[in-house]
Amino acid sequence: MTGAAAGRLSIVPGRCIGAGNCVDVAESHFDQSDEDATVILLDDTVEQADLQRIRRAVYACPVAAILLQE
Amino acid sequence: MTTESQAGHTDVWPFPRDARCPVLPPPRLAELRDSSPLADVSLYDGTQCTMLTRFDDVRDLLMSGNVSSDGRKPGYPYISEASRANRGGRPTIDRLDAPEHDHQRFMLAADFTVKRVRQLRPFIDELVSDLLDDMQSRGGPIDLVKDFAEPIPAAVIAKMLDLPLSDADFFLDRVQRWMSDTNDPADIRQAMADISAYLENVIDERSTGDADDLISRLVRDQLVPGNLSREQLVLTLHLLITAGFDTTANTIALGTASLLQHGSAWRELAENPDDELVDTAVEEIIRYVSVAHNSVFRLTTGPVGIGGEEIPEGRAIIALTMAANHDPAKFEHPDDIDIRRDAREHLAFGKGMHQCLGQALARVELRSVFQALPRRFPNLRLAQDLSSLTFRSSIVYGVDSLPVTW
Ligand code: HEM
Ligand code: SF4
Repeated sequence: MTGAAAGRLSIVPGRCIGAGNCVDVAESHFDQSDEDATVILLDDTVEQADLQRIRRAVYACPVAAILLQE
Repeated sequence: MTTESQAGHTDVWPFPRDARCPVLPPPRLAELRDSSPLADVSLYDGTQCTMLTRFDDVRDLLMSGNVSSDGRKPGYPYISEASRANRGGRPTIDRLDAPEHDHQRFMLAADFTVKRVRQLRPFIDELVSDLLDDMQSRGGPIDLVKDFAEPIPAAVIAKMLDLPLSDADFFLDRVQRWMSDTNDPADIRQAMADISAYLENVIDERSTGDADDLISRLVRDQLVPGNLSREQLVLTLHLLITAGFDTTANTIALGTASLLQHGSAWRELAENPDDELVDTAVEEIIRYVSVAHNSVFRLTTGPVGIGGEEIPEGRAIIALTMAANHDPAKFEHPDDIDIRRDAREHLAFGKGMHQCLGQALARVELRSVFQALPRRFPNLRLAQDLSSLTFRSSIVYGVDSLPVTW
């Protein structure tokens, strides 16, 4: 891992309802399953430059399914 | 200043708006929000409710596990007799709890993902552009509601469900008669019956073949194997058709009216319609107008701690997202529309597991509208003063017509 990572993402299993806010705000890190729309984490490493955008995705999630450890 | 509640008198919801600023939430809400986290209010039928008006409280309540959306439960609050009679007890996903809610939501969600609905953008851009061409060739004044705002969500849901675009007018008429809280109950029932008959027919037509549209797939994957009853499928399709109409159309109309009253915002969008500014502006518009003002009601199923107080089990709750979205503790100068503020956390689509299924679709429609409309009509203005227009306050807040010219 690069030392520049400012945060690490994880998903709480079974919570996501597929509202897609995370994808709308941060396509770089999140996608949605074609089957049931639930979240797919594309990249669990958050660089400093992305931190603010990722925080917005975390707040936007309606069910607090995204955890960001800074 | 003494208020009614201090005198021991309970406020009756809904409260009147200020005719001079008819888009803004009723002024009384700011007083309640300032004075305490929980307010006791009653509804038309005397139902006692706890009303939440602060941003953090509304968000926390909607994310709590101890609330129910099940409209069949005794004590679940309704905003009017029309609403109770015609919408009460209908098991659609907005009024169901887990696990039924989750099953129905996941069977629809894949069609409403960000990626899927963004594929509709070219279709929506063309639709918007055609409507703008019509406006231009007819000349002002025109009614922005009938001639622009309403046809957009009607055509978009017809496209999503693969229904003939020429049927969009039929939906629009029936949905409006069904949604109206002032309409005659018999006419409301007739409007519902008309839509149901239409949908029954579509279901029959699509019960053979291997077409890939959402309705055909729901018939094949849910109705035929018995995961969903025919009645539920009709209700679900009915919900998909109705949920996006008044909400999206009124966000367009009231959003335009609000921007026009702040001339610099309209000019900025006209001159600089880049994606990022449009996205930010659209979130701010959705926050500012918060049209789904009476749709986020709940019943507690256990104690919920809010703002240091405890709401007991079995309490009817009005989680007032519109008040939360105008909470100055969250949004500075909340009654100003500021197209550069980051309003993305607003609660206008709700919060928790019922948060709007169609929000990504609504965003695509609104982004298309607020990218094209100001650019095409940089000199758009209201042809009539806002305070002289008729606003309608049912489950969704809106305006009957919005005459504009240029
Ligand atoms: C600006 C436009 C819109 C606004 C402001 C809006 C607002 C809302 C709100 C506040 C809720 C939550 C209700 C609750 O928690 O009790 C909701 C739920 C819902 N909305 Fe929307 N909506 C919009 C557009 C749409 C569109 C375009 C569609 C679909 C075509 C749609 C379909 C739904 C559905 C199916 C639900 C129920 C979700 C569930 O219970 O899991 N909405 N909407
Ligand atoms: S925002 Fe939350 S609920 Fe929505 S798709 Fe992302 S993780 Fe799932």
